[in-house]
Amino acid sequence: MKVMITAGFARSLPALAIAELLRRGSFEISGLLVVTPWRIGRITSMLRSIRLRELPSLTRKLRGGSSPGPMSRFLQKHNIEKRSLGAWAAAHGVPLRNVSDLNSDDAVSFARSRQPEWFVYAGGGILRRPLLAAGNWRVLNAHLGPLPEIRGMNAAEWSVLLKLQPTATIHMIDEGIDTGAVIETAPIELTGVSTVEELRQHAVNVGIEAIVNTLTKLRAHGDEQWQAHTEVHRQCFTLSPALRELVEQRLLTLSARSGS
Amino acid sequence: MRLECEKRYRHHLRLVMEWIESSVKVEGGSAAHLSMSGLWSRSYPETSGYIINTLLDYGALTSEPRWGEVACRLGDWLLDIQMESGAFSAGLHPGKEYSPSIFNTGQIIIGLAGLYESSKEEKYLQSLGRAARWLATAEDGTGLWQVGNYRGGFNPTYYTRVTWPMLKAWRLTGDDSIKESAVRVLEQMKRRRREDGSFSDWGFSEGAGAYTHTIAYTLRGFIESGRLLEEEDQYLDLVAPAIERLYRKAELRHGRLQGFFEEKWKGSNTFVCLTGNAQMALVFLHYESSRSDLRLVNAASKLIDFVCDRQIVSPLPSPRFTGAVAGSSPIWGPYMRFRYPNWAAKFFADSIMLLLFRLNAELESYQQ
Repeated sequence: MKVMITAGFARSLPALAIAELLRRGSFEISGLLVVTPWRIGRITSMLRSIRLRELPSLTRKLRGGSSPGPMSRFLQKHNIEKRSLGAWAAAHGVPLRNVSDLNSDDAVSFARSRQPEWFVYAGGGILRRPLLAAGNWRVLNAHLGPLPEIRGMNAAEWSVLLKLQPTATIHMIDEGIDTGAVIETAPIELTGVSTVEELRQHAVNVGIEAIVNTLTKLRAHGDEQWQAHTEVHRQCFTLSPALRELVEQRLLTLSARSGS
Repeated sequence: MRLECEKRYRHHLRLVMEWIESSVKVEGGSAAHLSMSGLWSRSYPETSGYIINTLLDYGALTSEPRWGEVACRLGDWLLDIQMESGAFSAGLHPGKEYSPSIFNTGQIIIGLAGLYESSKEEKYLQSLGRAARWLATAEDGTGLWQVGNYRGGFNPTYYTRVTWPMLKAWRLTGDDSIKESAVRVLEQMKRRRREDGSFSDWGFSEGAGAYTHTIAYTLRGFIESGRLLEEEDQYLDLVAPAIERLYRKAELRHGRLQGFFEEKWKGSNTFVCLTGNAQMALVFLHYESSRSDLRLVNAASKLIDFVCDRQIVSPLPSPRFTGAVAGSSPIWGPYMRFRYPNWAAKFFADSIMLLLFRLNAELESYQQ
């Protein structure tokens, strides 16, 4: 089965992990579409959404450096040594295209030329109709919250705040924000999670495994007719510092209650 | 258990409250605004009225009696300048002439009601009753006023912020004629909702767009009127589409809500109306207190954070500015250009207090 993967930047470890685990599962990675983060528009948008004190950690992330947390442990657990998509693609002969925007003509024509059976979205911005069509509308996303209740950003954190079971939801991407049909779900257990950063990274790991498992099932059993949900809940956005603190407190409370 | 951000919010709150206190004149009300050159304007009866509640709330929060004392001074000054008819005058005080104002009378009732509820002093009840009866008598029987408007015969939709104090007065005095008049006005205003959830004529001029300041006045007026009428759901449904629209805009712009909207929600990207930002945070929080959803609290905190980042916190260039909030960001934006209005400070303080209350209530729920 041919799969194409998107990434929001060249050192995206989740995209790298998905690519490697799929390759090991005998999937053919037909291409990587990587968005360069160093564009004026994207930088401006990032700067507007973050506060100055968050800049160092964001820069570290874009450069591929990360603190020894669940993501690093995940890579170690799976013996994934590479730390950049470029190095991984070169090692495995996978075509990689750097694009300014996933919806650019360049990205769309690359996607068409590689003819993937499935697309895996692992970051890079909102997908528009031309790219979705180029992927034959078979684009999967690991959303880190329960759908349809938690749509949008910071879904794992919002699940905790809104007292819903944190869940990785594998769904089809359509033109709405997390409104496409749900294919699989996997619970995100909070045992041992006591900070927002740990929650986020742990949720990403569950999402990576869920997307690999989903594609494995799809290859074995074929497609079904999945129904898009009709219920539309208020979209979630990035957490403000105050609400982020609430999540931290809620995680601490839950952690204390479970004795972990 | 406490949130770290509470310390930061309380610091901003303290500064703005001390700035409000410094705006109150020995012999009168609170100055309408401070100019960039550091000059206080004359007193503004309208905003002196509703600032009373902010002072009372802050006094309750801090258990410091001085805030209640300032509130009483403002209230007593307002009693002194009430017109024979029961109305309060338009504009600043002292003025060249005094003409009754529908909107200002309403806003002052809010403060007098706060004082009556906290002190049970009859003089405040008498005064607010007279003011509300004047409003009811001046209303023409179709839900409109022909006199006492800001601009000629134009009745803006934000008169819902007059029906709210009228209904408050009805609740306190039991005079049904006040309620009947307020309901007629509300019926007029409800009919102005457009398909996209916005309301026509919710700005200062007929047929024109609106600052977020008067948009928030309109929405809050509907919400509070609905509560007092015990028809809350109907009124929350009425404002829900506008709130959804503004919620998305506030979030997508990380709290930098456009300061002015034309028809079809076409926003001006050139400035933020800081008082409107704080007021909209209040609207989200009040709406959310009935229809619980922390997503709205998130948007409210971003709107408030935006104002926090623009509040003057330094004692330079003069301590007179410390704690002040400008009308617009940038300060040369069209709303209260180059001025620091006392109502921007008032709504900013209110929004922080309500946000802290909501955050702490949420935190307490984690212990249960």
